[in-house]
Amino acid sequence: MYSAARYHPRSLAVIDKELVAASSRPLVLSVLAEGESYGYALIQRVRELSGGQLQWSDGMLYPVLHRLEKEGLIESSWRAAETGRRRRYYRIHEAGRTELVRQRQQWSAVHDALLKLWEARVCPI
Amino acid sequence: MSDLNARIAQWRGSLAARLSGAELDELEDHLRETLAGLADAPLTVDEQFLIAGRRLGAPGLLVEEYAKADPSRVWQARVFWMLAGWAGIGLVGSLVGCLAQGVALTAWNLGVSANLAALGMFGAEVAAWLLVAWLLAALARGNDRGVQVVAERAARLPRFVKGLVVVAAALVLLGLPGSILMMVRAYTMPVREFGSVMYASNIANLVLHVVVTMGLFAAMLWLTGRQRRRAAAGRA
Repeated sequence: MYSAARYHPRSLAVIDKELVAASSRPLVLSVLAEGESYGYALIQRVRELSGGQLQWSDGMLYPVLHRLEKEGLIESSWRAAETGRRRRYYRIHEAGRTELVRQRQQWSAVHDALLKLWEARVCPI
Repeated sequence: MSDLNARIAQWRGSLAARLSGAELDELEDHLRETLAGLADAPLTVDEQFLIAGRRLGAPGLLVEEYAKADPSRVWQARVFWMLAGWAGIGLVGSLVGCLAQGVALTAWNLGVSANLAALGMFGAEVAAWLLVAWLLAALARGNDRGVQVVAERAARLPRFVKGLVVVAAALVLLGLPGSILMMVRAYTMPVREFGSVMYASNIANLVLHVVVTMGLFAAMLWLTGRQRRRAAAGRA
């Protein structure tokens, strides 16, 4: 996909945009599986878990949350936060947990395949 | 703090046309939370807002992300604008038609033959459409920002106003103005003469409508292509 002339790695530490987008679904479901949360806290949690390598543009999270809710995997409710403002909290559904298991199997399969290649030094890196 | 509230209100206003109130409430809560985290840093209000806004994402990108997650909202807006355009063009078309028929009838009443009067009507209609096209082109070329502001204001109109636009579109489509005019005229003209004027003018109308519709489609394709090219250039 990348020709040699066009490939400019920006930084090894920052995860590519496409991978960030693809991983948003299992990440959101996994964090919500820990317990109820809201947008800002969710992003903080992901940032903390990835040591800052996963850089979301914060606003990108909400459409993902709304989509998951539409699919019936999570649900939301508006409540007053400790600041006095209205806040939307998200909770995972049973269907969401099932989806999370499926996602986990898929990501593990990819992860295992890559590890086998790299650890056995089958491919020269 | 009031400075910050003003900035937030301004930010909200810039997105009000594209996102719902609940979506904006949620994003505003997020923005305020980010700002609260920056409150202790030695930054001015402007700098705090700049950082918080940057983390949240540029308004254009935000709207794009929301649209990606729910494509139906894009279509709602598109259908509304198509109908509004249809109503507008229909209305202009009726006015142009009235003007052209007025020219033809005046000529006919002055003793010009029906065929020549119809030809005059064709000419008047072409001239009037060229004038409309010139006005539209001037609007699009001279003031992109102005068109955008009008579009944003219109998108914020209450639901019943949008409903009225849809009804107006339906009425214009049904050709109500033209029918009324024809009924009035049918009583004031000898049947044979009236028939030949209408026959010639109908053919002229048909040709013009096909040309105008094709022109509109071409303009729409060109405009959307230009937007896509601009977006691509912005991303590169």
